[in-house]
Amino acid sequence: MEHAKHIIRAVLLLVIAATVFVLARHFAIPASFGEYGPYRSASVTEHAAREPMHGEADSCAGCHADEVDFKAEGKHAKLSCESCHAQLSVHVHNDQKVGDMPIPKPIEACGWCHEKLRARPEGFPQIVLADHVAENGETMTDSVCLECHNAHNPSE
Amino acid sequence: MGENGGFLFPNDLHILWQLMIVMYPYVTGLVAGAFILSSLYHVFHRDELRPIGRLALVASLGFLLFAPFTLLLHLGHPERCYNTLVTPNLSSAMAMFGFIYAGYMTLLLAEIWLVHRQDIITLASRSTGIKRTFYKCLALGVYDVSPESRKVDHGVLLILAGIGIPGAAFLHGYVGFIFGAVKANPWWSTPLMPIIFLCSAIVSGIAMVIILYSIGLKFSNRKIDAPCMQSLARWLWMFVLISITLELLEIMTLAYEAAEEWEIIGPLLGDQLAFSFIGIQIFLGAMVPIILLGIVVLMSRYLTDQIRNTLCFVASLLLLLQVFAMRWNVVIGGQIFSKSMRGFREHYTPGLFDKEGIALAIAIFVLPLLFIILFNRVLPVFEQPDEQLSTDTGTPSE
Repeated sequence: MEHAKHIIRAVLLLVIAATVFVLARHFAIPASFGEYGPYRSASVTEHAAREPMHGEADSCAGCHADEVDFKAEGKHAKLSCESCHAQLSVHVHNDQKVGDMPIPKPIEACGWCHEKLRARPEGFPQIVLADHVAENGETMTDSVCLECHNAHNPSE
Repeated sequence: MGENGGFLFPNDLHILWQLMIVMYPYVTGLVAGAFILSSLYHVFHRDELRPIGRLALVASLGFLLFAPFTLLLHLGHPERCYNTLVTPNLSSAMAMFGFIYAGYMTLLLAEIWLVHRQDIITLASRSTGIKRTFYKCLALGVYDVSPESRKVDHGVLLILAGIGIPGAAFLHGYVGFIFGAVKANPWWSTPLMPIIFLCSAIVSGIAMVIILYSIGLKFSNRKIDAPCMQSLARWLWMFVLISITLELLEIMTLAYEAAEEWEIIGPLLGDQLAFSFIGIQIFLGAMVPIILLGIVVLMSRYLTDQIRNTLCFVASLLLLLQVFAMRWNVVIGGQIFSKSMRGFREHYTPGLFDKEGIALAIAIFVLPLLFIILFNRVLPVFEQPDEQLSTDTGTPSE
C-alpha cells in the first residue's frame, strides 16, 4: 500500500467528484420529476392551464357558415380552415374578434400541398407550379391560382 | 406555416439527422478505434506498438473531448444537456449517452494519467514557478517513481485497459445499436450494425494513428519505427478485411432475401448512393487500401521503409474517407427514402456555414488535432527512446 499512495489519492478524487455530482443532482432535479414517470409531472397541469390556440372543427361555422358549407361540398371538405389560414386565436378570443384572419398568398398556400414532391402518392393532385401556370397561359403572380380555382372549393 | 412544413402531408420529407449525426459516429469511432489500438500494447503486450501506445491514447482523448459537440450542434440548446445526467431515462439508449461518455472519459483520463505519471514527476522536478505547481497538482502530490510504484501503476493500467476494451466496444457498439434498433428503417435495423460500426471504428482509429504518427515524426525529424508501422499495417489490413466483409455481408443478405425492403434499398445503393457507396465506400475507400496494405503485409521484405510508410499513409487516408463514407451512407442513406418505401426524397447537401454545416464539421475534426499538439507541449506524446524517464532525476520537494 505504501507505493499505491497516488492511486489512493486518485480514487479519493474520483469519490469526491462522484459525491459532488450526487449532491448537485439532488438540487438540479426539478420538483415534481419522477412522480409518475421520467418527466416533470407539474408540466402536465401547466400545459393544461394554457389557453388553446386552435379552434374546433366547427368553430369557423359560427360566423362563416356559407364558406364552411361551400367548402364541405368540394375536395377540401376534410381540410381544416386553420391549415391554410392561421390558428383561431389570432382572429377570435372569448367570442370576440381580436384581429383579421390572415389570408395566405395562394401561390404559397396551394404549393404546401400541391407542389410536386417525390414523397407524395402518385394519385394525389400535384403540379410543378411554374409549369402549370405557363401551360395555362397565365402570368405568375401571388394570386394566379385563383384565376381558375376557388381555394375553398377547388372543383368549382 | 413554412414551405412544405408543419402538419400537412407528407411529413417525412426532411433529412433531420444531418452532417453532425454523420460526424458523431465518425468521431466516436476514432475514439474507440484509437483506444483499442493502444490496448494492443498496454494489455496484449504487442511491444512493437510501443511507439504509438501513448499517441493512440491521447488521440482517443482528443476526439472524445469534441465528440459531444456534434450532438450539441445537432440538438441545439447546449445549456440543457446536463439534464440527461441529472434526470436520466434508463429505458432510452440515446438518453444514456451522458453516462457512457462520462464513464469512458474517466477511464481514459485515468489511463493517460498513469501512462504519463513518470513524465509528470520528471517535469515537476525540472520546472519552476507556476509550471512546477501545475505538474505537482497533476502528480497529485505523490512523487514515488520506485520500481514498486511502477509495478502498482502497471497493474492498475492493466485493469483499466482491461475494462477499457469492452468499454470502447460498448461505446461504439452503442452508437451502432442506436441505428440498428430503429426497427422502422430497414436500412438500419440489423443486429449486425453494432459490430459493423465497431469494426469500421477500429479501422478509422488505426488509420488515424498511422497518419498522426507519420506526420508527428516528420515534424520532429525522427524516423518512423519500421516494425511498428509494419505491425500497424497488419492490424489495419485485418480489420479492414473484417469490416468490409461485414458491410458486404449485410447487403448480400438483403439482396439475396430480396424481401420488400430490397425494392427500395437496391435503388438506394445502386442509384442514389452510387458515388458514396459503390465509388467511395467499396472501391476507392476499401478495395484500393486492401491492395495497398496487402502489398505492405505480404511483400514486406521487398519494401524499403519509405515505400512502406507511403503505402500505409495513402491507405490510411483512403480508409478515413471510407469510414466517413460508410457513416454518411448509413445516416443519410437511411433517410433519403420515404418510410413508406414508395420513393426517394430530394438529395441532401449540407450547407457551408450552417449549424450542421461543412465548416463546423471540419472544425470538429481539426480541433482534436490541435488538442493533441497542445497536449504534446504539456506532456510528451512520443516516448523518447534515448531518454530514461526515471527515478534518478530527483523529486521536487513537497
